[in-house]
Amino acid sequence: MPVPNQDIPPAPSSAPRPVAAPDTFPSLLFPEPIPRPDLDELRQGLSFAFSSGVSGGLFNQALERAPMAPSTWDPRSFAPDLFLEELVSRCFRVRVSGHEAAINRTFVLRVLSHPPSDTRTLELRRGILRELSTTPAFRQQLEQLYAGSVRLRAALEGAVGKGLDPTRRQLDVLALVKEIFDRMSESFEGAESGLARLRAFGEGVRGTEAYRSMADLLDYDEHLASLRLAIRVGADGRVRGFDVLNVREREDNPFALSPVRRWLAKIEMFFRGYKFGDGEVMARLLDAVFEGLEGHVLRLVPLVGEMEVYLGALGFRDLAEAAGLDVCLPELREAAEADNAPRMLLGLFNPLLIAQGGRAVPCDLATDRVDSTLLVTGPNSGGKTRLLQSVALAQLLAQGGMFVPARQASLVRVPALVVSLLQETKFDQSEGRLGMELLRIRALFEELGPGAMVILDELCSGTNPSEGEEIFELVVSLLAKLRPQAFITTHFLTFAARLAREKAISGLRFLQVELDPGHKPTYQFVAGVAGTSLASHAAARLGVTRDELEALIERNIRFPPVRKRVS
Amino acid sequence: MATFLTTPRMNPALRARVERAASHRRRAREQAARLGLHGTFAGREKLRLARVLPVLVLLVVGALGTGMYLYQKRLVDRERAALLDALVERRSGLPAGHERFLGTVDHFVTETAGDTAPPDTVDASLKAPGALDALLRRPAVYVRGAAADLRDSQRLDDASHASLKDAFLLCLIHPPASSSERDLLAKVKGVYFAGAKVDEDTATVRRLTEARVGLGFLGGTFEDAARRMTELAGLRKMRKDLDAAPLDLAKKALGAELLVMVADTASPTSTREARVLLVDLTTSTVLLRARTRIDQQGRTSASAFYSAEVDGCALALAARQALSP
Repeated sequence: MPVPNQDIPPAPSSAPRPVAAPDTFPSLLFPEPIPRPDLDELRQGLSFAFSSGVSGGLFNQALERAPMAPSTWDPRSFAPDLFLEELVSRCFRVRVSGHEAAINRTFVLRVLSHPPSDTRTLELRRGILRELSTTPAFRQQLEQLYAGSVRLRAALEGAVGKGLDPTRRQLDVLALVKEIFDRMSESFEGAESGLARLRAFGEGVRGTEAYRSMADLLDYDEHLASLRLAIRVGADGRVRGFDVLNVREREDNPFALSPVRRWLAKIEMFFRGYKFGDGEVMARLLDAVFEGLEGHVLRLVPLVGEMEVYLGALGFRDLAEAAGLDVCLPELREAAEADNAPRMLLGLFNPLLIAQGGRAVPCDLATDRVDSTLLVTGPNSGGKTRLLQSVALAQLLAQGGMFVPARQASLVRVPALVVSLLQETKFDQSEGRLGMELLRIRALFEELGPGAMVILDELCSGTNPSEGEEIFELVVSLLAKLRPQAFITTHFLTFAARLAREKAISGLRFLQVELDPGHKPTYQFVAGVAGTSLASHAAARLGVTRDELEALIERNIRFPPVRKRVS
Repeated sequence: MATFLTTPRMNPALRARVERAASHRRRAREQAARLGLHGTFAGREKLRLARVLPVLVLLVVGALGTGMYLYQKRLVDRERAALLDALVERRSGLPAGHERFLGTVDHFVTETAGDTAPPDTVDASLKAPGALDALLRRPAVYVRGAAADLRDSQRLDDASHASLKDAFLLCLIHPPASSSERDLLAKVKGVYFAGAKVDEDTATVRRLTEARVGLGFLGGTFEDAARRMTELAGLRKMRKDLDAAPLDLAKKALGAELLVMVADTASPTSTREARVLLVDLTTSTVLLRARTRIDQQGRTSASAFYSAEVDGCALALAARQALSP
């Protein structure tokens, strides 16, 4: 059953709204403001960053400790085999004003690897992405907002260097904060998704005393007095002098002090232990103004990371479009007992391929039922493993509310994802290849709940086919009891053909790599079991034929290979 | 805690934050309280000498400056009070109506020396034998100068200062036996007119400048200047000037009942002309206003060296003769 669109209704945008509760943060990733238990620590970090220009990683700390949406997915069971880090670093790239921004990849990775269980969270994210992709103005406004936030981050965290006036830096920080909240409150007009929250947040801040004080202080810094001058120019056209016509000092600004009071303030600062000078007076005013703003700026910090998630998703879409591929927000429905609707992924491609600059051939994948186990067969290098990666990534991104690497998709939510694509040999492994394979199977059944998605590459390939087939059949037949969405590749072609012929296991479906008339894989998949793995083709392609190997042996006998000594 | 950084235009919340920002101790205490601590780790910092020293120096310099200022002010006040006391003391014995003295005298002098002087006149009381001598025994004030100087109130001060007791005054009071050259010469030859002898012979007459100088000290101008003076050295100089001023002579001059004025006017060669004025200052009555002329022809070389004195004496004699019926 499709999940109804439950975009969070935006608050009315006419009057200034109250800012979030003191210990909660507005969010683009969660339907409700998030409480932060580390609020005091973050506040101190921000205060330190404002004072010193060195924060100790305030933004990173805020994002690394940001709470994630409740999720039943365990990243350990899929993240390493899906190369999620590579996906984030190469596909979720954010470009602002023609330059690539340094995003917090760890945070994006955490968001992607924790698909929310709550459909409201999911729909919030989908709604924002949908609006950003259909309304270019909103995307541009978000990018501008993000660019301002990046400048603020740099001003807060990276403002070190000799000769940098600390008071001027703090004024610059305030100017950036004002620019961000101004832009925030003026952007996303008419937005119906969670983007409206940014506007509401900006408007709420602009209605506060702290914002007005900041604006007054910046105005005081920019415009303390007006001086009218008359410039005398000589016969030769050169300036000969200035005559001061009048001097008018601002009196309406709350920070404006009379000249006598300014002196008294400086003397007061000296006796309070500060230096004697105008800088100390301004520094105290800056402290007072920023103290009022701290709470609002603090709420801005995690938003920077959340903006990166959406801008990264849009970056992924841009990357796909540049490669001539389409992405989409899939139709996503809850798993149901009698779900007879097909699972469909049209134009599916592997994003890791385009991230590496390779050519990705989109394919269509459709099954007649959701809770089926799909056995994929075909030649080596025919795209089976890439297909499994694509399916898993599509499911992951879909349940995270992101674009999926497919032109059109209709998927069913799963409570977990288990991916086992590679079995690297480790120096400290206690078992041989088969042993490790069996441990993998054991671990799979220990973790796996009903309805999960299981991705297994070349199950039981580490032993002789006859014994491996027995274990394979055991696994597949028992998996069916958990009604998983399973995708398994194998080279046990005879065995697969037998299963297809006998139809003894419920929900078992078969897919094979399509070959062209020259027996080369087309990277498309059709129903059925492959008749051959075309190992000889792969061997010939990689130079492992009888003739070529014998030629190498002959050469090595006549001319023993000389290895270079490396001193 | 109040601070000079706050203004009445500030929002109360902002004002509270500015007050917190101004005091790092208070901020630290509040931060500690927020973290559940009983106090700040640093506690109350001891006052360091480096912080206190400039303050102490400032205080000492300030105290010394203030002390010196107050001491100087007290000295000045004391000197001024002494000067004003001395002035009051000097003013004792001034004749009544001395404030109007110079105004009256200057009026008659400038009027008679003017281009359109009133016509000559002789009071009938002077025509009686011995009347002039009796008149000249009364306290008098004398001034003589060029008519052009005397008619100008700006130049009158200098003219009166330059006017000494001279042959005219001496011969007016003690006339020579005749207007012959020999008698005139005998009267003035060897006389030191600035000396004590002449002063004694004309003891009832004081110079007009003595009254003017005296009023410069005893009048309101000097007192005003003393009250305005803020420097000790200036007050001391004023006191010195006051002590040196011939105020006894001034008081005598200001007590004069008679004005004797001689305005020398331009005259043809070998003649001397002058306007002579006698005024009863008690009644402001002109007793004599006469143009006198003497002829210098027939003078021998014997009187050439004393011609000015001889002319003065001759003019005085001519003035006396003007009273004759």
